[in-house]
Amino acid sequence: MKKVLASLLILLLTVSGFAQVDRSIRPKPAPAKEIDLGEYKTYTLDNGLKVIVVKNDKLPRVSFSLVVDRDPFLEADKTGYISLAGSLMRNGTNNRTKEQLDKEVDFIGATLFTGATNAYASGLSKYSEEIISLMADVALNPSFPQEEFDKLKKQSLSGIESAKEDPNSLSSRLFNSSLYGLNHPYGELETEASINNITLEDCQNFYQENWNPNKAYMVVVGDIKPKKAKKLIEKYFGAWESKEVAKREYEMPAKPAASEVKIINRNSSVQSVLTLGNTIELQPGSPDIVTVRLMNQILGGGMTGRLFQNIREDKGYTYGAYSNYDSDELVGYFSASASVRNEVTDSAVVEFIKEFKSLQTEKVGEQELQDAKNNIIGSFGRNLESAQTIASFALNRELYNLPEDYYKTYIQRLEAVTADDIMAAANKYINTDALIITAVGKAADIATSLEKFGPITYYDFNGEETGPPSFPVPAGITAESVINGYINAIGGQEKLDAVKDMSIIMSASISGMPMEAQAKTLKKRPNLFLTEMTVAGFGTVQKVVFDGKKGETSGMQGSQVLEGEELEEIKSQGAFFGEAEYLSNGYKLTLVAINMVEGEKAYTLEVDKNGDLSTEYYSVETGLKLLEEATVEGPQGEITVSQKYSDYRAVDGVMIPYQINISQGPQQISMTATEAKINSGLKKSDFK
Amino acid sequence: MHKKILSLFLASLVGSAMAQSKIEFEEYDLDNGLHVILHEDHSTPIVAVSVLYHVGSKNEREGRSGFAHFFEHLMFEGSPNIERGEYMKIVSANGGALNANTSFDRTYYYEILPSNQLELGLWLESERMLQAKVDIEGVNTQREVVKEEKRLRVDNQPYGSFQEKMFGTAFKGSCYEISPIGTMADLNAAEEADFKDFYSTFYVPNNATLSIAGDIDIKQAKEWINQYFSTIPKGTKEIPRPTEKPAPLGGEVIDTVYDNIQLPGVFIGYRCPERGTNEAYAMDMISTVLADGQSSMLYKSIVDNKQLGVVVQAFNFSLENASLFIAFGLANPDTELNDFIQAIDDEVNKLITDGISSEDYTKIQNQIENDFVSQNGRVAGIAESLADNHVYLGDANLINTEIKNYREISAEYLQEVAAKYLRPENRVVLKYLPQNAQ
Repeated sequence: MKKVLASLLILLLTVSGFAQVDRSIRPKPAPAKEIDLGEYKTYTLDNGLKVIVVKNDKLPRVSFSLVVDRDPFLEADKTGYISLAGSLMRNGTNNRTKEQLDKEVDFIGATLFTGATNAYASGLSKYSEEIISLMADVALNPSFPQEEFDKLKKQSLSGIESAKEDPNSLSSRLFNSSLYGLNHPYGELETEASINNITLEDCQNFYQENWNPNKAYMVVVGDIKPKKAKKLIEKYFGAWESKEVAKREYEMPAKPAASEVKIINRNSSVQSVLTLGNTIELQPGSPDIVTVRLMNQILGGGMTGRLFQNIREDKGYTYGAYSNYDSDELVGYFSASASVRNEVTDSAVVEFIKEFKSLQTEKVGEQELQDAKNNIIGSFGRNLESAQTIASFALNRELYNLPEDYYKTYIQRLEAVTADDIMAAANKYINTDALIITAVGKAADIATSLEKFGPITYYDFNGEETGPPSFPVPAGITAESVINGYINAIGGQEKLDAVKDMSIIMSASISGMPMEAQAKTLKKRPNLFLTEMTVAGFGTVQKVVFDGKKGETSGMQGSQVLEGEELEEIKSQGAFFGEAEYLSNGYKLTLVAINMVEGEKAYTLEVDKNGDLSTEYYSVETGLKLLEEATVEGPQGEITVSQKYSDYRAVDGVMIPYQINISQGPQQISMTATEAKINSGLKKSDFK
Repeated sequence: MHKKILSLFLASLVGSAMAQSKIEFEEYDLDNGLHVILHEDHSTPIVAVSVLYHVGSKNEREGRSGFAHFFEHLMFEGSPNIERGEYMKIVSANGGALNANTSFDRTYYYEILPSNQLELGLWLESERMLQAKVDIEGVNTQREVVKEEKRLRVDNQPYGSFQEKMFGTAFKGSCYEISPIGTMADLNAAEEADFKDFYSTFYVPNNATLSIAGDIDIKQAKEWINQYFSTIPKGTKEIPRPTEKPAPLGGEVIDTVYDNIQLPGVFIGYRCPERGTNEAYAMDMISTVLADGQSSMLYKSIVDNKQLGVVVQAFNFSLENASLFIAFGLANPDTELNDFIQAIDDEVNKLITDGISSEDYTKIQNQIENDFVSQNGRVAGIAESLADNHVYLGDANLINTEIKNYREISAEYLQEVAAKYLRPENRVVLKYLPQNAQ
């Protein structure tokens, strides 16, 4: 009996053991374990090469990474040549052809590659010596074979070709060149031309002048004893001779005064690759680093960042929205980006900016701040699973002269950051009012709506500014439908027919003229016409009248009766809503394309009236006329005359542009309507 | 005979390397059918907690393509004890990282946490298994997110349509015809009833594997696992599990796709046997000899010697019911794509006719050994490999022993398998040409 009871008791205990798990209570953590920063050995060879060894025998592998520290390099019209030089080193040495290198590397299952001023090799630790000897051969005895050079050049050109349709490549090219400028080491772009300019000699010279043990680091990680590593490195890199390397300095890239929008048009895009950002001055090792890292974590460091939570989890605009920053000795950056579907491109920008501003004007909550700290501490611990992290900490300390305990005190410094610090950092490092905003996408769908963020400029693959792109006219749209659309947009034929007379008074400011002018225009059916410009203090400067029979101009240059062609021109100016006549005889209309006018999509219509050519732009969205352009013969040769129409307002049911901007060669006239009337009962006597 | 000795020699050479990286683990089943795998490793104070549900796009019903993956997104929405949107935040605020992915055959969730947060990870995953909660707002938002994912990975990427076209053709009429991302139409069609049904069918302990690797105390871990998972009821529905092998291709299919690209590209898919068969191991090795490293047959011929293109790759895409051996490459702009394809065929035929040299055989064994020892560098990878090996091949210990299966493949067998599967009538050729070439 006793036994039965006991086992029942046990049963009860166990069952209640299960039942006691209250799922509504989140489990508490066990005591935290200390994060072990690992150990490394470091020593310097006689030639100056610094060696860092991190022993880790978890896997029977080893890696050797050689980094030659150098200042950023401006490659100018040969951009791409230093990485080509680096790749070429791997493709032939004084001892081995490329084929031999390939064979030997692959035979031991190893990896070997070289870059402009770095080399990396890894493989099974039992082949440590083979691996480092291959690496030393390419690093110290490259033969720069012409044939391999030609091959790499061809591959680089193909690489450039493939980047032309890749939205992410286009985006990083556009963002970098916009941020730093095309004439900066971080902003210059590889192009077909720059690759074609590279010579074998350039590659050889670059190697000769920049590969130098005095500024180089060899980082060894893996299943190898530091003593053995030292022996091997001395054996294979000990004879490498040191030399002087030139210092290079650059000016800080200019910052925009206000936000600018830069677009690469890609007609096939169903998403826009958006990036917003600015340059920052944040040196590695700066005390601000931990604050900026936290700020970035809160804003867009991952799935729990505000950008991801807002733009993806709340709005569903994107698969991922993140922010990023880089500390750099020369110039760093802050950026935020997402790929979003075309129709929400502008809405996404609004949300980005909203999140920037909120970080700049409202203190982050204590819980959010602590969560972000915990996240960073966690990732710090996770990263230390890889021995490469321990090695990179050691390398960073060397490269940037960081204090001995820089990483040991990292978490401590992180924990000390306050909400005020975050706000201050957001204001210091995010230029919300002077951002570079880049978009790679279908301009026809996105450009109009991006205009509100700043002036838009368009770029090609090479970072050169282009005009606004044009787009094909969709099937079913004709010149006739555009004109009919316009007539309907300004009120419809019936309303227009009911207009017997109209008068508009506009105030005009003329570039180079200090005083305001006033322009009055009167029209009365069938084609009576008067336009008069007066300037305060001068009276009438110009007047043109057609009273139904005769035409006359008068003003400062005296009076003149108009005849012949000039008279015909005046008669046609008196026509009411002349566009309606485009569809009758005497006009030839060609609908060319869809173009952007001030960020608005417009049908481009070429109008040919008996040989008089003009181009007119009608809004795709509203049907209204936005712009007229013509080339005319002026006293100093041909000039382009354009008239922009905007601020349309309804007057007795007819849409009248209250703002007209005229540009004729160097002269700019801005006219703003102060009064517009329709059917006010103008008399014939008013046209004198 | 000579070859055999050589490979024996190699095997002994590598024996020592393997002992060094042996992954010890324990595994057992709970009464509700949940399979548990535990690997203890104290080198870093972190732990990977993962759950593999044996459901992928191949289990989807008609008209609901993309559902398994869509569902994966919804599994972050919460539970009665985890408010909507909190799942990710809890992990992040406790110093962890998480993610999930969906393939043709399975859906996989994981958290990597500081090891003192193991209980938290178990609680989170058990909530997901026991009582995931999905509301309509979450469904609609995640539907948009998934559509953005498709635009990002497929519709807006050069060559991005390759997977859906390749699998759509090579596996037409089978469970692998439609890729995990699905179609926009089907994503729009998913309804509330679908979610309930999918959850109660597939997200049950008897269809799941809980795999944990890292800085754990096995005894304590077992206690918590018992507490959080053993009360989850076993699923009662039959789990639809297509097992039939896709019907043979029945002749070469050649298709041309005009895409927004600059470089012509080619994707060749050969139909091959499923994961875990000797033939599949042989195909893995064939991909190594053809395309792993710059001394490989395809790279040397196409990129180095003939200079026809910039990239050429081959890999064996192993699945549960079948595999697809895919060779692909990007040609130089002025290369005639058919010349590129011919150059691939020439190398494949060389392999079939001449076989591989003993030197090359040793080389690929070394390359495979290198890959094999490299894969267990992180606890997250170990947890995943253990779960995959258990679910697909019924043997989690393959994480330690699978290399033997490669060692046992002889050079003659490689040649035989190449001849059997790398035939034109067994393949789909997708040619990608620039839009303006149309």
